[in-house]
Amino acid sequence: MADTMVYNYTAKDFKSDQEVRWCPGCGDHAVLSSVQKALAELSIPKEKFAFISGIGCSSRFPYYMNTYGFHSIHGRAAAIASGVKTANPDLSVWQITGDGDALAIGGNHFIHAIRRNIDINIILFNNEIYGLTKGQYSPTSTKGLVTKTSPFGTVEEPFSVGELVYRR
Amino acid sequence: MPYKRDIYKLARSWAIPGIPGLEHRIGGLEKTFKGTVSYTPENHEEMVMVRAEKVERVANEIPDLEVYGSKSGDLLVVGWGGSYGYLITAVRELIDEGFKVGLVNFNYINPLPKNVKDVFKRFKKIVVCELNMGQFANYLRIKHQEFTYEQINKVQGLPFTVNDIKEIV
Repeated sequence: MADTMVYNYTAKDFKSDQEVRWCPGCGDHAVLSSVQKALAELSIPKEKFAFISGIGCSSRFPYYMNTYGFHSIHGRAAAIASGVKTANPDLSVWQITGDGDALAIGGNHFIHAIRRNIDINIILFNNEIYGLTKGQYSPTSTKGLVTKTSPFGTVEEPFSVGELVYRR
Repeated sequence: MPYKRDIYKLARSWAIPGIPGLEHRIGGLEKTFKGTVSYTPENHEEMVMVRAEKVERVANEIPDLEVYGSKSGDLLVVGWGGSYGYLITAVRELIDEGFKVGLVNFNYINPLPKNVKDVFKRFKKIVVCELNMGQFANYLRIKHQEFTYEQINKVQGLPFTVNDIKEIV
């Protein structure tokens, strides 16, 4: 819940002192600076943010934010984020995950987080590949894509993430 | 400082999200003592040793090994975990029959309690009873090489019977 105080945050207040290790040109950089700018505009005190991530390039994100953060285990960001929010509903909980972390290994936790709908914000970085491990195909990779684990092209139809989260 | 390690325990304290000024990030990436993520070989080695030392120091917090039956004697029966029930029954029967037998049942494996050596040296023979192929006996051989360990193993999905144990004496 945003309160009525005005905080004069800038994006810089949300930058941590850690060196950002993403490849130059990666879209992750853009997400990071967008989130830092966006949070500065919300009327939420900085200590109320909690960033929970799983594993992957996306999941390096919490280290680059000057907030409470937890880089957890592969696929389990949704479970942990649900726990954080339930234990302390006053926090603004953000889950950072990727197409592999959330939809492959984390598929189960993902659908339950959607079903439970407990006011956590999930940012899923979809680069349609397993990036950190250098190029294996993921549940959102285009059918026919040639990757390190699909030398003749994948044979599977990918997820459309938006369709997964739609509820009546 | 949120990343500081306690001097004695070598463990980091916890800070609850929501407290102003204590913002920090925990997670799988290794960090220096100050909390900066570090990929250097030297820091890795140092941190591996600090973590190992942290585990060793847990021995300061765990209770000493308790000996049931005779505190010294001819035979020490060693078990761990859920074996306590049938081992203590067997040991009590042996004591009634006049044998000088003691029992230790380990609840802490890593690290082992601090008084293991003191307890073991008071018995002439040590027998480790396990429902597997002898992993704990081998572990004790590494951690306390100064003693000789005999072992009884049973891998039938059934617990030891009291007679299984009494047969070794």
